[in-house]
Amino acid sequence: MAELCIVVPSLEKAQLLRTLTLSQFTTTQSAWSEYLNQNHDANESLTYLNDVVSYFSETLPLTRLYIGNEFCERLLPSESELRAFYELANENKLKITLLSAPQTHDSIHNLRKLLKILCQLDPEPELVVNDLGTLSLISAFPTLKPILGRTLTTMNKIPQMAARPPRDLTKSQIFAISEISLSQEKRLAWYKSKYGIHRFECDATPQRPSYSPRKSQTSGSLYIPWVYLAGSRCCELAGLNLP
Amino acid sequence: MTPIVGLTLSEIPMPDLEALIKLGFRTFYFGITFPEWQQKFNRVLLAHRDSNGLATDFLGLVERLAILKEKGCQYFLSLDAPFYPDSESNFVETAIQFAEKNEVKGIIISDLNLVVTYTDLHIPFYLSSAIDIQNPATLSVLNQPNIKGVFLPTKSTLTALGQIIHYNPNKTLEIGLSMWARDCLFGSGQCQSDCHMHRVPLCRKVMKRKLECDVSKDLEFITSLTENTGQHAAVQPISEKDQIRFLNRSSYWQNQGIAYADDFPFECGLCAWEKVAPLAPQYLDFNLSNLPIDEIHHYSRVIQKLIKTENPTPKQCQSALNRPGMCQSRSRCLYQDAFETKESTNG
Repeated sequence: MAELCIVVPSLEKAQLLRTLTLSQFTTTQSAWSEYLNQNHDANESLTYLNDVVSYFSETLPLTRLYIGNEFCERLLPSESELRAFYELANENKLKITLLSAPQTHDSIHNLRKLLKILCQLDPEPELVVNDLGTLSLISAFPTLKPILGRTLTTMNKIPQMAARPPRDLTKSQIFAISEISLSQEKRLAWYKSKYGIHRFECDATPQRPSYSPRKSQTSGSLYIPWVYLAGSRCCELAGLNLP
Repeated sequence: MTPIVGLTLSEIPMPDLEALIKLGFRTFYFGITFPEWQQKFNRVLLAHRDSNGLATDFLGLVERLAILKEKGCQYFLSLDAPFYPDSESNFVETAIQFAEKNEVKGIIISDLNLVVTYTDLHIPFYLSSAIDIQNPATLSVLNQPNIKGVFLPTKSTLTALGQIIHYNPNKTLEIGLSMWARDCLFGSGQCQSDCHMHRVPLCRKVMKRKLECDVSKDLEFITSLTENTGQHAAVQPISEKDQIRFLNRSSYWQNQGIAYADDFPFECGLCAWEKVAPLAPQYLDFNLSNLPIDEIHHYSRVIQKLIKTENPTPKQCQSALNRPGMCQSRSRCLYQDAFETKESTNG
């Protein structure tokens, strides 16, 4: 059964987006700095998220909310945010999935606390794992359904081919760029047998990836429209108010 | 513990190799590109980058390895493409056989599939920095008998690196740090000039396309796709204009050197010595692979000087590096030149 999900940003990011929308995307450095130095009301963000979810629910058959962040451990929801998200999801008759990022030693403990709450709230909790170390937490939460995130799925994402693969590619080149780590049978078997992972996430690239959920007896998740290319400690949001 | 300094072995002329050994280098890395790969993939694969320590001349490579062996040096095979599809397993087999035959110390990999596939090799695996180990828990997950060492990622903070080394659950595991001699503006480890020269003009093309496209059609397509394939689709509620603006600003800020902020340890591999040496890793790999040989000579002298200095002070590090034109400011200028040239070429 196919599900259609929506990724909701953390409250902090939601606040930022709301302000951007209101100010018609004025992005001078001073405006950003001014914004980042202000205190914001969490209720404003929840209202914004409610609007977003309502909007998408009207236009698409949404079934699930993805909460958290795949790339930055600092954007994991807080405990109260997690509860708020869960309520929001319940009100809209949606299920939730928690996104986790590559975690450092300290933040992996925070994630463990969140998972405890998530497993108490949700009878069918889902966690997207984007860090191999996070897999070590799974055995402590028997009801948790782990999903392998896209930072752990290796596929060819070539910026020069952002729109479409060049027309003059040979067959073998098309074959080469379509290869994806999820087509490796032993790797999939390792994740399935050792960590009980049966859903694998990937990006929607212009070339068609060679991963077939049906053939490998797994499930897949597809992210659109934005593709994960590379990680960096250079954060455009966190760094904007630096001198 | 005295760190071991490695040098990525490009297709270095034999006299230069001998000179480097005389300078004191004792650890080398090499990669292999098969002629079939070049013919098959041409320049499409990201793993195929010219002059990046990838040897295509097998006989020449064997000759160089023989010299290294004779001089008592250790050498690693770097088989670290992000992944090797099952269809390429015969090439991987050949490379591993080559490594066994030539008595390499270890094989550096970034494809976990090799770990789960080759469980009974005589040669141990060393996990590349591309595996992106961010916490000690990852070392527990990867505690496999065929893994002997790891190289920690270049994009971690000093704090994170220190925690991984301190809380490492497997004390027999060898831990190394890989650093770039030239700074890399992206934490991804991609070549800065290669990446940047394409990035901004590309962003503009993407922007133009994105502004013209109809998002609702994309959504319709994805909805139909998920219905047909049973896949699980996620839609991110962020406007196109917003994403484009972020993309654009990200490039802008990276151009301005934001990557040097905070305690980013790898702004320049050599400048980072004073920060990284106290962490006491067992290996320090200075990746010099894209440098011309005269610069390798310069760096090798600097590195050797630093190695001989126990617990170097910041002043000693600065003094050793004090060569006009080779500090990070030059790297920034080089990048800036490349960027401006590309901009003007693109009109």
